[in-house]
Amino acid sequence: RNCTVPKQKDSRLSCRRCGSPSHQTRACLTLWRIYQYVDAEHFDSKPQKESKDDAEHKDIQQARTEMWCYNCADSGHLGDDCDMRRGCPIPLIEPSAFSEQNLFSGPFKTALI
Amino acid sequence: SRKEIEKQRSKKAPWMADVDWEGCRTAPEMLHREVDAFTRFISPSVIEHKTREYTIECIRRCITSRWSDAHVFAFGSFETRLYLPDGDIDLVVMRKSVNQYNKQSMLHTMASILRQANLAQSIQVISKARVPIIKFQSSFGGYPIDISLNQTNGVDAGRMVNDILDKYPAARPLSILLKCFLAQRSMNEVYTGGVSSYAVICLVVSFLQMHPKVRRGDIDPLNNLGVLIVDLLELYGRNFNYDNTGIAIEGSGYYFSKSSRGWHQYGQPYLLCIQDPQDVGNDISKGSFNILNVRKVIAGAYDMLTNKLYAQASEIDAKKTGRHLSLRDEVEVKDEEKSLLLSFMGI
Ligand SMILES: [Zn+2]
Ligand SMILES: [Zn+2]
Repeated sequence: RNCTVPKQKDSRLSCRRCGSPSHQTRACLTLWRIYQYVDAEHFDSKPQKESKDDAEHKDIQQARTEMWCYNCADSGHLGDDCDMRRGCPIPLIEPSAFSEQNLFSGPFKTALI
Repeated sequence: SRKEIEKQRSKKAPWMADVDWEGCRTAPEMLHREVDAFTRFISPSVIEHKTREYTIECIRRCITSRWSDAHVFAFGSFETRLYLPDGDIDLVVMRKSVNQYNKQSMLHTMASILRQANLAQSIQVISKARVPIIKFQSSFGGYPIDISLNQTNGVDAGRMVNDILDKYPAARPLSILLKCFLAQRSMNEVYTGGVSSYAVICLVVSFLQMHPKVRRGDIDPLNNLGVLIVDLLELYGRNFNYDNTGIAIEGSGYYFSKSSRGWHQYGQPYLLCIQDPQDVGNDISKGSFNILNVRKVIAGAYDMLTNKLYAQASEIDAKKTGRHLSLRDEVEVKDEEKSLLLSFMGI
């Protein structure tokens, strides 16, 4: 009995869709960041479709696994997850499309790792 | 009358009549359909393109009848078909026997024969510019036209941009949308500090190359135009580190540090920096000195569009759960109220 009141208070502060405390349910990014995914067969055949030879095939497969950082301009991670000081004056409150959180979601979240 | 005013109002979003709402279930899906309809609406029709082609042909004949060794090419957005309805036509006249000394006189002669042939109105020769040009309005069609002399790079750029657009088909609708958005705010001309069409295309292509879901191949961007336009506004309006990061689109695309190339502009660390796909030593966007305002309006567009998407989503939700008042259903929702793009395009 004694814990129902604070719980209710909590759930009103955090989003009921994704659990994030930084926005209300009606302003949740999951309401619009909804991608239309390709099917598995299409996903697997991407390099074959786009390449002319084996070398190009390898390059495309390589490029798919790359991540580039909008903040420090380096590769190996995405801009949201950068360790360097953030250059953009607007603070990052919600994860953007350029985040591991976004990359590691959807039906291919563990593909190509 | 009130009815007429209402009719006028619905003309604010004329592309809405063309949206296919069949099977549309989510707010981003609605936006996708609208982006699709909008780009079909704003892109030149076959007739529009033919009319421009005809106008160019008249000018070509006039010029080559005076100088038989001259060649007239259209370049830029005419070649890529990424021009807006009131967009100008860029022509270049190529003639081997013209040098620095007789260039000016040829431009003046060209202006007078175009006027005599009744092809040009309000014609002016701008000879003091870095690239001297003739500027006029075509008598037929009323198109604003620029003619330059012996400028090869523009012609090649058009061909290259077409190759890029073939490789990234989703860059076409996204570029025309962004271009239109900037043109509405007079931020699409470099001489006033805005972003050129060439730079807009590079920004969009780089966005598609760098987007983690597109890069890995999780999604086909052509099926995700709605969510991608929001992701694009988010990247360039709210997150991109303009002070440090430069953009290159060659190969599969990469970023570089501006300072590592010595491409920091003194006193303007905030400038956009894009490596010219045709010339690795050239930064095509260093002249966009108004970029801070461009960034501001892009960030504002993100806020307006996401707010509209949240409102749309709760409306869909209300309909689903039956909380929707039946009265509201009977009243036809006006197109411009339904439009998601209108919230930030400001047409
Ligand atoms: Zn949420
Ligand atoms: Zn980084």
